Parts: sequence; C-alpha cells; structure tokens
Amino acid sequence: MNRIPTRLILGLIICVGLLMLAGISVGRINIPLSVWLDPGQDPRWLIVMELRIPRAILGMAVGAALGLSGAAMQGYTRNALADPGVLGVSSMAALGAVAALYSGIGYSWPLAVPGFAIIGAGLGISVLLLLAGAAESVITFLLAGVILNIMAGAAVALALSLAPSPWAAQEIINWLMGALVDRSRDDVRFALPLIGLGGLILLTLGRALDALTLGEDGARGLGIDLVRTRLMLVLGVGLCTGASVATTGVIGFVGLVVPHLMRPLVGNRPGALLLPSALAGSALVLAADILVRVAPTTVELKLGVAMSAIGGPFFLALLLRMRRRLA
Amino acid sequence: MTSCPTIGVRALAKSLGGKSILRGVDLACNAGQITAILGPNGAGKSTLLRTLVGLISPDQGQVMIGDRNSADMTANQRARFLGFLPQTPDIAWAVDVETLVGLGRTPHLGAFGATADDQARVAQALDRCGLRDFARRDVTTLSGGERARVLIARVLAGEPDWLLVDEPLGGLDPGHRLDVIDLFKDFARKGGGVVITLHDLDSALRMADRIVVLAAGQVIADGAPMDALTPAVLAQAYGIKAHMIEGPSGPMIDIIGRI
Repeated sequence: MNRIPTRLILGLIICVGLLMLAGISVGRINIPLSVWLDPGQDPRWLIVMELRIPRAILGMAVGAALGLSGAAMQGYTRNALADPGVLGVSSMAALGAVAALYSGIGYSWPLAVPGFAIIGAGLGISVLLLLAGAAESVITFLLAGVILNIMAGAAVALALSLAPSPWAAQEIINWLMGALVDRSRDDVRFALPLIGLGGLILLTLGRALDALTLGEDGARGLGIDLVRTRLMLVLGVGLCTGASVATTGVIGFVGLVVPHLMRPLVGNRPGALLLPSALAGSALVLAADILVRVAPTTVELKLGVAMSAIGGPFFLALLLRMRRRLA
Repeated sequence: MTSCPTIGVRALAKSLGGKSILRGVDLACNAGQITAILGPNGAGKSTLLRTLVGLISPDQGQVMIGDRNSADMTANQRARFLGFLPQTPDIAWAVDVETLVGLGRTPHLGAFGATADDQARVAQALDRCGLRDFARRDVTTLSGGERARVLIARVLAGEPDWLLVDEPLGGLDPGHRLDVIDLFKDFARKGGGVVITLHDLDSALRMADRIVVLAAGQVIADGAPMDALTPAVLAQAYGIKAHMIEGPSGPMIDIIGRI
C-alpha cells in the first residue's frame, strides 16, 4: 500500500549532498581540499562563500521545486506529459521578469526583476483560477493553463520585438535561457523560504493525488475535496516555480523528466513520487550545472539551454513510446 | 458494519444545464437488501445515485444518511459510510492491484498513512473478491472481468455501510456478471446496503430485492421485482410491450416489441 521507498530517499539525499560538494569544488577555478581545511586564509574561500555555496543551494532548491512541481502536476492532471509550464505560471513569472527588464526598472532597482517575476506568478495563479472558474474538471484546468501559456508567450514575444535597445533584447533573451551563474546570498534568502513553503504545500497533496488515480468521481467518492486540492496545487506550484523562475530564469524540462526517471524505482503511485522527484530534481539540476561549468567551451553554457538539449529528445522519446503503446 | 443506517432522499429535485433531471423524488433504502434503480436513458438514475453519494448537490430536497442530513456531513464522513463505484471508473496509472485496492482505505487513513490494520483490511478485500493471486499484477494488464472485481474490492476495502454502484455490469461476459452479482448479494446478506443502477432488466430481476423505476425524473414504480416490473410500468418507462415470464432459472422479461 503506502510503502515509503526509504532506501531510495536516503540514496538520493546522499547523492544531492555529494553533488552540492562537487558543485562547490568544481568550476573554472577548482577548490582543493586545502582551502576547506584552512578556510579564511585562501582568497578562493571568498569564491566558495559568495558564489559557489549560494549557487549550490539555489541549484538544490530550484531543482527540488521543479521536480516536485512536475510530479504534482502529472499526478493531478493524470497526464505523464504535464509539466509546471502547463499551468502557465512559469511563463507568467518569466513575463514579469521580462517586463522589469523591458521597462528599465530592472536596471535601476536590482530586486525588481525577481519581484516582478513573483508578481507575474501571482497574476498567473489569479488568471488561472479566473479562467478555470469553479469547475472541478481537470480538462478545464489544463486548458486554462494552455491559454495562459499562449498569452504569456505572446506578450514576451511582443516585448522582444519592441525592445527599446538591442541590449535590452539581449538581457531578456539571457533571462529566458535560465542559469545559476552569479547568484548571490540575497537570491538564496529570497527564494528559499518561498520554495520551502510551496514544497511543503505540495508534499501534503500525496493522498489526493493517489485517489485521483481513480478519476475525479472516484477521488471525490473517497472523500477528497478537489476544489481544495486544486487550490493547494496552484499555490504550491505557483510559489515553487515563481520563486525558481524569479531567481534563475526559465529552466525547463526538469519537471517533465524527473518523475519519469523515478517511476521505475518507486512505481506509478503519484503520492509516492513526490519526495523522490524533489530530491532527484535537485540532483539533476546540480549535475547539469556542474556539466555546463566543466564543458570545454569559451563561454559557459546556459543551464536552461543544456536542460532543453536533454529534455527535448526525452520528450520526443516519451511521445513515441506513448504512441506505440496506444497503437 | 454495525447498525447500518438507512439512506434516502426527500423531495429531491435537480436540474442540470437548465434541464430538469429529477423532480420530487422520495426514496428510502434499507440495509440488508439490494435496491436496483431502473429506467430508460436520461431518466435520472445516475444523477440520483451521484446525489446520494454527495457528488451533486440537490437544488431542492435533502439527502439523508440515517437521521443525518448528508449536507451537514464532511466529504470524508460520507465516504466512510458510502462506497461509490462510478460507471466508467478510469485507472490513470499502471499501479498494482494491491495499491489500487488500498485506495479504498483513503477515508480512514490517519496522518501517517496506512497502518497494519489498513493493510489487513485490504488483504481481506482481496480475499473476498478472489484476488489474492493478483495482488502484484498491474491493473492495466487485467481483463475487463478481473478489473471489475478489483474495483469492487477497492470499494469493499473501505468497509462502507453502503455500496452505491453505477452500471457495474456493462462490458462483462455472463460468467463475470454472475461473479459480480454474487459479490453484491454477499455484501447485502452480511447486513450492508446496495443501491445499484442497471439497464439490464433480467440482471435486476436476478439480484434485486427491490426495484425502483424512474421515468422523466420521477419514481413510477417501487417495490418487489414482481410488483414493480408490470407491463404497464415497462410500457410507460421504456415504450415497450413486455411481460414477465417464469424461465427455467426464475422470472425473466419477455420483450415483444416497441409500442
């Protein structure tokens, strides 16, 4: 019944810990053991404290947020292709950040970009609820997310085409590509509480997501309040992806890929996938962030681009497999 | 299952999409028997059942569970009393049989999930439906008949006082129909109540202790099978000329044709 995959969770926690250590140590400037043994004396310690540790913590938090959001979205929609992007909340968060860059406020007030991204996510949640109304249908909810995505995408394209200067357009494109580079302790202080709260909300949904295996009528017949479930889902995903996009830009496909990687290990029960997906999301983003740093390129690869390069073919393979199964 | 309460509706009216579906329905169902709700397509059978379960709120009237108004109960409290099996229960994920049957315990789970007691009750439900050997099988690999038994085991695992079942026999071969009918009869014999919507008149005659016929959102007949399914009721409900005959294995409906 509700078997908790304790060994897998412990293994993933150790894996995330090791990847964080590796992420702090590895890069264009490597941090040898001697720096760790004598902190404060070596100038590289400043890199560890001011850049690498915030970057590793953000990678861990953002990966967990996206992996958890993906698992929750797939469980709720009962669709293995669902991803936080389906809600449109991440697109709206990106639109908020783009608006800050486009208007120029982002340059004069540094907190404007994440602040606007959060406002965008909040607006996204509100519009989503408004579009879906009081209907309890998953289809209505999904369609509302799709509409929101299209609207946000069109607005971002408009901002790009009307950008006041090539520099502003370049900034917007950089933001949309997503990265963990040059993030500070302030970013960690900003994102961590919001992601933590959103994650806790999503982790409480396991029972409702399990019951939804039987469809909406089946779940309601088991005493599940679907309106409350949807509200909690929107809040949790909104906080997790909103805070993630606000600090790192758009890093796609984590929410799609991670639950699929976990299913062979924990089974298909949506509730059992939540915590492992959060941990595996952390591991995936941390590993990908190490790879983009050590890749032999003159300019560091963008993490969002690298994830899309992995996620795109994965998505295609998934579609082909589903088509074969249906045939 | 102790002191199983009666369930029913009082002066129930419900419209959906501007169309009146149920009009002043009064019904009280007793435990220990199977009540079959019959009627033509669009008569309001499923709406009545879904209202009893609490999935639909009545426009007028009340749904009673024992002496309590269903509207005053939480969804979880209702789910402990009423085990609902929808008409086309989809199974979204390829979970194993034991996991799916375990979902029936959802209304009873505490903060820390399933206990040893919950697991024992799931095992009992599996045994009761002859599914012990299937426990680790993926539900999506089962035949229609096997899957029907799994879904009934899922409802039984919740140990409800009542089973509310919407069209459970569709798509089943005669052998599996008999298996499913036997499971409901066994549940009623042990003191539980069963309310079941059906299209098949002969299956209703075979299993029901009481038949309620709905037509155009109103009850037009209510009683023992032999009393409820008269030629006049069948003509009014279905527009058919038919009468009950005594077959080798009991009464059955002989349909002569359209009126």
